[in-house]
Amino acid sequence: MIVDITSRPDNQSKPRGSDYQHIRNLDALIDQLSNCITLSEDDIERLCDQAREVVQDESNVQPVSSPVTVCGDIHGQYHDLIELFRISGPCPDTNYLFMGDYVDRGYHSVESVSLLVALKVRYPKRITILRGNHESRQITQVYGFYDECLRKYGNARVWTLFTDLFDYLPLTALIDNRIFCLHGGLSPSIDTLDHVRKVDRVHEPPHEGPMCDLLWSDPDDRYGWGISPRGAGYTFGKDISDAFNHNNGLSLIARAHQMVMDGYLWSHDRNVVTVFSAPNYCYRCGNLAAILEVDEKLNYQFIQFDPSPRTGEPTMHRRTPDYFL
Amino acid sequence: MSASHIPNLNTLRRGGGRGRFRSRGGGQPGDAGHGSHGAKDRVVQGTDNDASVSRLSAVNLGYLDDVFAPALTPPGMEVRRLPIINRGTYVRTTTIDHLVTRFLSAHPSYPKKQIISLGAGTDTRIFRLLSSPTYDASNLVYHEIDFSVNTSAKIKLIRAAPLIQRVLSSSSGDVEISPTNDALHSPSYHLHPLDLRSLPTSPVLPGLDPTLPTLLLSECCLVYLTPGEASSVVRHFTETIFPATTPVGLVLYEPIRPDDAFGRTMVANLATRGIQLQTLQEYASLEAQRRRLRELGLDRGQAAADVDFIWDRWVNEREKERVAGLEMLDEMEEWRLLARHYCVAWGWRDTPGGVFEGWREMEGQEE
Amino acid sequence: MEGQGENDELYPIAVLIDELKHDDVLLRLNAIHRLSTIALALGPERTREELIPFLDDSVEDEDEVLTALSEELGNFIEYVGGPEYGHVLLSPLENLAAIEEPLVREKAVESLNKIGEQLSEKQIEENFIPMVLRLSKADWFTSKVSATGLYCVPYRKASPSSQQTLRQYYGGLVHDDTPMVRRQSGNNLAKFIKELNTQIVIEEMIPLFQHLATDEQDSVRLLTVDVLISIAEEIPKEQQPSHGVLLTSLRNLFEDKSWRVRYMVADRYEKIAKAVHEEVVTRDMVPSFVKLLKDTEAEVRTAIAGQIPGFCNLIDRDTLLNEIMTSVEDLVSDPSQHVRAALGTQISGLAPILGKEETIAHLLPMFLQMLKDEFPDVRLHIISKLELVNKVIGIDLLSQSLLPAIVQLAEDKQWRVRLAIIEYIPLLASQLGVKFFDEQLSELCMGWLGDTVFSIREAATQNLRKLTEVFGVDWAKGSIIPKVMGMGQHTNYLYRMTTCFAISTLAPVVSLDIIENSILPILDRLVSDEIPNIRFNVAKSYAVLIDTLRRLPTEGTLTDLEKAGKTATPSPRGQDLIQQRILPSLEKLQEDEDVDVRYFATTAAGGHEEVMQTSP
Repeated sequence: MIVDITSRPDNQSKPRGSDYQHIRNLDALIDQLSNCITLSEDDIERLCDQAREVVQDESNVQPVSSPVTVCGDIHGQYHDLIELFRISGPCPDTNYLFMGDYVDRGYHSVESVSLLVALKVRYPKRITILRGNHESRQITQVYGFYDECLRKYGNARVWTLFTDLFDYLPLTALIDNRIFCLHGGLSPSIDTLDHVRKVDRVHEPPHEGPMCDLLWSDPDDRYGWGISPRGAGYTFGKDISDAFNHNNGLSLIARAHQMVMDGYLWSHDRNVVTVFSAPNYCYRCGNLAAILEVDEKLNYQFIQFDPSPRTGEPTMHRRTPDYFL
Repeated sequence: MSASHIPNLNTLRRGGGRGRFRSRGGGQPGDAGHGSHGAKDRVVQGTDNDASVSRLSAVNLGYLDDVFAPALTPPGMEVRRLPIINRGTYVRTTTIDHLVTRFLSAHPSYPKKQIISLGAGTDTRIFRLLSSPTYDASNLVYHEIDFSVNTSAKIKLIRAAPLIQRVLSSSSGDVEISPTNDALHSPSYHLHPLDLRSLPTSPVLPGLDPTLPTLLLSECCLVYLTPGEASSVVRHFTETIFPATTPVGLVLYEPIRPDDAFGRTMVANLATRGIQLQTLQEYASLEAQRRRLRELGLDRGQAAADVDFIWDRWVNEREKERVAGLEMLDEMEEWRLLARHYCVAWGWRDTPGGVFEGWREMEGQEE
Repeated sequence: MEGQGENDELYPIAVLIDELKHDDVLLRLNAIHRLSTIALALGPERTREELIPFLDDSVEDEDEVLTALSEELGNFIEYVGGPEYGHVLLSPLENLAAIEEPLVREKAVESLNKIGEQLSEKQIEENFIPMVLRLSKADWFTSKVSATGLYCVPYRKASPSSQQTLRQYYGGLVHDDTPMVRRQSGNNLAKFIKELNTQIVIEEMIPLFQHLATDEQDSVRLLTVDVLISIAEEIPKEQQPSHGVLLTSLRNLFEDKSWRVRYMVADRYEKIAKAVHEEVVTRDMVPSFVKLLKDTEAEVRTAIAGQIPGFCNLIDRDTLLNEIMTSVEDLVSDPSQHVRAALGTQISGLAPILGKEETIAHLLPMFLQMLKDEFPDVRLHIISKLELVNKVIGIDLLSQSLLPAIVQLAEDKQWRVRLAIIEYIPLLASQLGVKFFDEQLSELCMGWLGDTVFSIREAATQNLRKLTEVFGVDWAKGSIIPKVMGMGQHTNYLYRMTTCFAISTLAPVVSLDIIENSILPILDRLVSDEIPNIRFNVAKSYAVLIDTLRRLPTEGTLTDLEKAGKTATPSPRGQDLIQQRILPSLEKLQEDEDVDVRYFATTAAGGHEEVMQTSP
């Protein structure tokens, strides 16, 4: 069951009782998640079902209206995600566009992705969640989300539910036809937004090809296309982003994917900006995080932030990241 | 409520234990003597687990070839490390292997050479050397020094590993283990239970030959001591034990650059585990490491490079491709940060054309 | 059938008994936690004869099971037949008190003391004391460690001769070879001393204290600080000078070569000073205080910084000014941020002691420097304790000298520092008065409404509400409302939304007049804002206003009513406003093209309750 009050004829435009029940349930889940309490397996299953119905109809290039706050990688850093909401305001009051990589690396991938998915189901018009290269079965088995699910639920079902949902997430978004947002970067197989629209996205990201590139590529100082040191996607130069923005009438490409010490970084003469929203990434990198607030006139400002202070939590219980010892 | 049909519980009483040592009699009666040192030392001793778990992870995924890794990782600790940690372990191990190989293969006119590994923990290098087809083990004397807790743990693991025992007995002859189970001696391999800080006041290590060309190896070891203690350990060998004519080389593998954002976070994170990198501020840069080697009297040559540089410059393209193909390494930015915060430094004293001259060709990094 | 019923009832018990010996540690743990259920089923006699001996064997179990068992047995007297049978519990607990895991022993000792309290003098003499003596003489140190914690309870009920034996055995523990035993004996000595009379303390306990105070292990020596306090509290101050050994030990502890001992001294400094003779305080403790303020270890300096006002209260003002103040002032630029932070929490406490003039001379310069400290905690601590200073020097002087620093912090890069300043503003405002506020702080407060961080904007609206409570609704009407409503014209929706938030927050502190003439007009405009987020926040604000107007009288505010504890007749004008100004707008919003706007508008109109009732 999914609430789609928008498509209902005018004479029924007010929400009905059963919708309120549904909304109350969702609000309860969001409350729970706002306190970092993990949902039950059954709740996750229902949530993922509902979320699939919402996102499967979204476009590969999902249109988003300004104003909106654009965010980069979260990576299971739940407390810092909450900090992000403290900074740009709670959803739904503030509109959000997240550019992927909700899971892996941090200690709270399950809670972070559950919260974002629950918000998506509750407020489909207020929040857009794109797919990142970590929203994948293969990557999550290496970088922690799979293990976290096993640890927190005792089995892999929640992991299966989420990774099945990830297949439906849109790959890119377009703010007011001017700002193109995606996780990774451009692809030599894609010249226009229409090419992106035609990609068949509902499956595990392949190791190569346009879908892979959108999730994996990085801008680079060198011109043209280059081999990515990551082993997937490409590096692309200023000539490439110049042409792409010009051909598609874009003013800016906003993307995430790369940890940058100041939380955001311009490249290609301001054709491309990287936004990274996980402060002190992996509890190790010492970087600032940033978000990009785009207002209704498409003016924008970056807001940087530090990790959320974690007072009250005993230091001994925090695991420290690995070093070479 | 009565419970007449519950059987008499006395019939259920167990005779023996549940496989747990009876409490009275196990363990040591206290930490007399060391007092406040105790806790910090235990933390440092524990760092060897990190290293051996990382090593096994890299071996299992094909980064490194090391048949001894499983036997020398404490049971039940098998963990798959993240790709950047695996790559770091790979660079650390192969770089030191290169430096060791250069030293051992140089100059056949010296029939015998000596290696002293400080804070060796469960390192497998000696067993890899002893079983290597390209190197004659009878020409090698290899010493490992570590806390007694660590040497006895290693001996326990060796005793449980027939593979290692075969290598030891076939290449190294008679193996003798002390009654306290924390020292091991054989012609090629010595395991000394010793707190490095007590080295200057200890009797000369059994089996140590002060005339042999000697490589001192500190893989994340001296960094836990104070700068003064760390220098004393090296000087104990270079000045007290060895005559000035003995060629000596020192290889260090340590964190550096504590003062940028990543470095500050590293220092703070390790501090929450109780780990203090006491020499880090003193030797914070590659230049400081080179100066340190010079000041220790290793005057023929000093060089240093961070792990990022070594990965870039020492690993050939084919090998890079092989390693990159083992796992998808998504975190390029984090890898560069991490790799820039570890360095290998090497310095030596020797006669011109001596056994360490091969190290001159190893490319160091300007800062 | 009756037998069947009983079987059913007992079935869970049988399961629990099975679990007691199950291989799965979780099941055993569960059974131990429900031990009382089993005992209840067995009855007191079988509990004594079967369950307790059975548990006696369980000493071979995992630590967590044993911890649970140690704890449960402390509450078991009622299940073995009451206090007269309480001594049967001593045997399993005696075994548990010997276990290697400290937590198990700790719980066993706790339980033994609980049981000891309920035993008769006879049981104490015949069972408890012999057990304590056995543990004290055991081969293994774990038993002795436990024994040190078991002396107080039996001592109270023991005969004089047993008391003497107990003291003698305690002396043995103090002289034990194992540092762990000496450490615990030191740890428990302070408590044991409380059970003894002055004569015995002087004759027998001072020597024990001396022995521990010269221990080679610093971990033992540091525990004697509490013993010393305990002894000094027991001996009348006028007698103290005749026990020179106490003074010598005290001096030695102050100068101990181990920083951990000095830390302990520093941490208990005020307590020590209160327990010893005044002469010792001025002659010995003042110079030592200065030394500790300059200690080489940051931990020690942090601890002693925490004692500054407490200790300085005990000495005369001249001594403070002449001998101590300079060293306190030096801490402002201590290299350790933790020392500076500790100083920050304490330093204001000196103001009442110093008095106005000296506070201005000494403390104000320190505050100014600490308000600029690079470590945010230091800045925060100073701000949060300024009230004490205010009482001494008055708000005029305080604000004159500190205002520039506060204004600077109000623009701190760290938003949490800005937040702390905001939270301090209403207090400052109430002390400064309206004129000064309007001149100096008003602009700052309005500036926060446009902060880039949402949480600051939110706090700014809360702040305005508190200010309105301080300065009154008329002031708000002139000073706040126009600016809040002005934010509603901002080009960025996030800042226009601040107006909506502020309206909801301010509703209880504004009058009908303001709602009608200032608030509703701006909402009338925002209701057709092009951004849906604004429109549904207008709906949320309407919901609050409806609730307000239903209760609001013609004059005054809801908060006024609440404070006066009165109810008043709601103004009919309020009802009109709801009907004529709010509901029509909400109806419009209920037909909005945006789903969220329709939802919040419907909720605000109270529509969903109806819907809920009528829907199947």
